[in-house]
Amino acid sequence: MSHEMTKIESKRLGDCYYKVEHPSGLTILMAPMEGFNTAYAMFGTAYGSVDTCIKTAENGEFRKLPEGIAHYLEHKLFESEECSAFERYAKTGANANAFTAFDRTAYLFACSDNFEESIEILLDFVTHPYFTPETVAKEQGIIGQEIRMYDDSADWRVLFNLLGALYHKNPVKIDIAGTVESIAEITADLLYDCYNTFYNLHNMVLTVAGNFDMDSVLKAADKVLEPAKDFYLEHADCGEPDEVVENYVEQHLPVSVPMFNIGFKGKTGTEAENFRGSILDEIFIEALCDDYTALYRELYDEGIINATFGSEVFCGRDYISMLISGESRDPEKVYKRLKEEFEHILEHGIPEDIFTCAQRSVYGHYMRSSERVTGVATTLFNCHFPGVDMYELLDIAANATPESVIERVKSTYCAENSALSVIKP
Amino acid sequence: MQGNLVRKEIGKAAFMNSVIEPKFKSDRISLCLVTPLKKETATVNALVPFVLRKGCKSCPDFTELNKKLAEMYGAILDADVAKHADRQIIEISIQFTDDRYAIGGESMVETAAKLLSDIVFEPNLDANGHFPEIDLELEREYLIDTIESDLNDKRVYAIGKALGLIYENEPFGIKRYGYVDDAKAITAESLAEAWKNLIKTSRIEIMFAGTGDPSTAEKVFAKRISALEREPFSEGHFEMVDYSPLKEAEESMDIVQGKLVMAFRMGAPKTEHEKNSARVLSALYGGTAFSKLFMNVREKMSLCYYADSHFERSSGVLIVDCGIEFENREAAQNEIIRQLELVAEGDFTDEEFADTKGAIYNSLGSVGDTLYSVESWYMTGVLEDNVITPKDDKEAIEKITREDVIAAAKKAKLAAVFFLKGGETE
Repeated sequence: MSHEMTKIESKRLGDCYYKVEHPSGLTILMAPMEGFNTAYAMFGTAYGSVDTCIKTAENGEFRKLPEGIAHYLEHKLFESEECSAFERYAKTGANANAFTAFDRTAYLFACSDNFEESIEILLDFVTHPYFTPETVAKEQGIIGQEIRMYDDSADWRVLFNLLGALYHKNPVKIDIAGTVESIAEITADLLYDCYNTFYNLHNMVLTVAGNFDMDSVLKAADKVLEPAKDFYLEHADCGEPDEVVENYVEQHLPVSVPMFNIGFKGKTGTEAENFRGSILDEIFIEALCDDYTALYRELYDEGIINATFGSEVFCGRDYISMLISGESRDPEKVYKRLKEEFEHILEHGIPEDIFTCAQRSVYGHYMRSSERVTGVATTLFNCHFPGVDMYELLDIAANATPESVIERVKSTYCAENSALSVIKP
Repeated sequence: MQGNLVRKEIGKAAFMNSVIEPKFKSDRISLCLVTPLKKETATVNALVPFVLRKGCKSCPDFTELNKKLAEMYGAILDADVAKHADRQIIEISIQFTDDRYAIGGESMVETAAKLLSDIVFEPNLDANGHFPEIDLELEREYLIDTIESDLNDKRVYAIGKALGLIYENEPFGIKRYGYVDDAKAITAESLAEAWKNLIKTSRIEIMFAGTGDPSTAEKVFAKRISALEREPFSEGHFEMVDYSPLKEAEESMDIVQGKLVMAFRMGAPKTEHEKNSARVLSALYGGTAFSKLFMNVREKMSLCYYADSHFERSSGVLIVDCGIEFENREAAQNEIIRQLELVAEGDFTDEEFADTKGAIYNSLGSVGDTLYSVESWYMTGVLEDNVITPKDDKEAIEKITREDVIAAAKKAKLAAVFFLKGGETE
């Protein structure tokens, strides 16, 4: 079968990738990279832990799903009637894995040999679910241990406690794997139900980067994929207010120095607006507190932050926040000073030298991800669902001005809609 | 040759290593000071990279230094300390966009190499030859936090405890960041002395990995190093311990999941062939998602989410760790031992054996694809005085037979068990 292929190029990087709309309904994005030895493929769906209340064409009503079911489904999809996908990959040598995030699930592999066989396994096992009451029951113990592992993880708890303080209703505050109680409600039938809803090829993407032959990807897709039914899905508007639940939350766990997460909760736009805006937010948050700012220096010299201090923008379909994390003996003071500086910058603007630093750092970060096979496949994957071109990220960073950043942040965030989460020894 | 290591001596016990791959868009230069790992000096040496990271004569202000790096498209300057067998390694590295991708076409390689060289060899010392008081105070406090932070990740903590048991009297047992009491005792004099001693007596290994021209960097380093007064330490030979009596310990902590760590002595594998046999054994036993431990302890018995094994080449120890319900400790421990015994009895198929090797070949195939993995691959070779390519390594693994793996498994003897259980934190 011949396929129409669109080539997308970046002058800045001298790189390109190709897009194919496969007749099955799947979008395929491919970036062959010269000189590399490995290939990395990701096949996934716009379905994650936040999808706990949905309405489909068949069912006219919104329905609630058990917390953690997207992640449970990810685990169970690896099994078929004959053997697990891991056993099939064992024959090709590929290093395979999967993850469930807030609004995504992805199945992936990395290989330096036998790509044709591995890509076929990937497409095949993800499109052929097999669940029985026995196999579903067996997973309770394994996932139960995964949940417990995270319950003991201070890094994980400090983040979810923060999300609980920031969000009233948005299911982003729910633990990705659910709870031991919520996963007990999961049955084989429910898994089939979720699978048939979300694992529609129109709701999925395949991205491949590195050393591979594009024809072999298309051949495998032609062989394995059946045309998908029309896709209709409505997400319930969770009715999340702009305000936070509370400004402070703490928990005691065995840690050496108190750990903190600070979040500034943003007003959400469309998924694409959130995604594009997040690049400007990254520049802002760098200019607010990265290691070349006066604020960082002040807190460092006072001994209340250390090199673990860092920031990121956390964004998805209907949520966006700027997060700052680290260890501190006085997290309240760090929070207070960040809020003051946040307001100061919004009022007085970003100094030119600091803006240059922030812009170049963000630009360099995206540029460097283009020299890694995993970086390219992951960026293609992440950009697909919001409908943003991968190379646009660099343009957004390059074209940002201090004014455009301030304008974006003023319309999306305010210092009061924020919270501090602390884990104390 | 493209993709292969080029190694040159550019001073007394000072080496410039480079691996060039045009596919990359950035470069990474690491400067390592390699010195004997000793309990007395481990902590003060561990503080050196962190005070060096604060500034240098040419750029004494920490904030200005960070600005300079940000302007270089977010160049990353990292300082850390590592261990390799009986060596301590002080590593300062810089990763940056190559000249080809700089907007003004400026020479990034030269700027980066000069900065790295200034950071290591021309620190910001006062009239007494001491580091700034504030840097000593802050970085010493931070080092103490880092030493204590292994508590934050219970998996890391439990592995550290098991290694503490097995390596009680060996250099491996010395902690990476040293000891709290020793950190508190560091003075301005002892810190300055440690730095002076490091640049005088260490073996200096510089690794340039990336797409740029390493000769520019080489000139910068060669010139600087030739001006140093060098008296490199004499490299001795290191003896691996074959077996040690079983040591067991447990500790309680306010947690919900138990962590079980078991360490096996492998009878001091000496030759590359013996070490590779133990490596294949570890992969077959608990190194993949179709290994004995994964298929049995996790998939069949549903006891855990992870049960992994890995082989420490330099100490000849095989380590297994898993997270389990407290009451399943005995069941997990028995099954972990039983699976190793089964391998020793040859209870694995030719297919499992071939697939395990396939997984190793696959990971060797990925070594050349990131700057970091290129650097760490060749730096390990340099430190072990055995520089080989991933292709050479694959050929060596191809030679390992079923019998070699069975023989390696038969040599395994349990030497340490540590269990972190629930309850009041001790």
